[in-house]
Amino acid sequence: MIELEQARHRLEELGLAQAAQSPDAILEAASRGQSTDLSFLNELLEAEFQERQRRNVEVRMKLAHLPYRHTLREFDFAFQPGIDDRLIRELASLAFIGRQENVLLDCRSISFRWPNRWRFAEGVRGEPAGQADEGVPETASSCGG
Amino acid sequence: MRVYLRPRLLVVDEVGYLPLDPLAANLFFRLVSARYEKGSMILTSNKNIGEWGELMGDPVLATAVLDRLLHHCHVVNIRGNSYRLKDKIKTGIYSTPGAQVGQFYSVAGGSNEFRR
Repeated sequence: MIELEQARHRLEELGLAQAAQSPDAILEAASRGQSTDLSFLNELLEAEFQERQRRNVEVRMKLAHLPYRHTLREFDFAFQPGIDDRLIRELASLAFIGRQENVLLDCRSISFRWPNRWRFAEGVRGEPAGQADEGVPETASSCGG
Repeated sequence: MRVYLRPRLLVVDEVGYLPLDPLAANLFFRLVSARYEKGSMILTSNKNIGEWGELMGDPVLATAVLDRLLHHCHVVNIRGNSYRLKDKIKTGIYSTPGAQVGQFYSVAGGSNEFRR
């Protein structure tokens, strides 16, 4: 037990806070499993590393001051059938960065059609009333993504 | 310039929202050129690729930029209603225009189309 305390203390001193929290849990798992000393060490470091990475992302997200947090998982691909969700998921893997490739999001989303009963007011909104009836005004509204 | 070259991924939002003056267009070209095959970029734009000549005030420069940008590039065409209006459309406040889907151009097609 003293040894464990010592190990914990050392880990804390070295700034490996996450590893310091869990050496006994990992030790126990290691003694039950057939892990070698090396794999035990790796597991301990992995726990620390993952925690640090998670915190890093968290801090960066905070610093970015994004107004909302949207994730791809929430995105309704059925709403925008023109988007190939497989391509998006492939891009989300960020493999393109390793290949130094670019991504161009060309989002000329069609501005919505005002319902008929509102159309008389379109002059006020700066759109010619006649044009809106046929086809879709190409004036880009805010981009979809 | 080094600030924009160092990251492995640079995101440029809303290209074409405002037209570029000659100096800006030139700098943009230098940026794209310097990152070409060295670092990735994500660009969002609501301008057709063919309109970039107008946007940059110089079709030759725009061609040079697009040539480099589109050489290794995934183009994602987003057509249809603004996603921001999604909930409103669902509740029926706005009617949906027939989504103009399609108009996919391949990487090479995109730049050729522009040069024509």
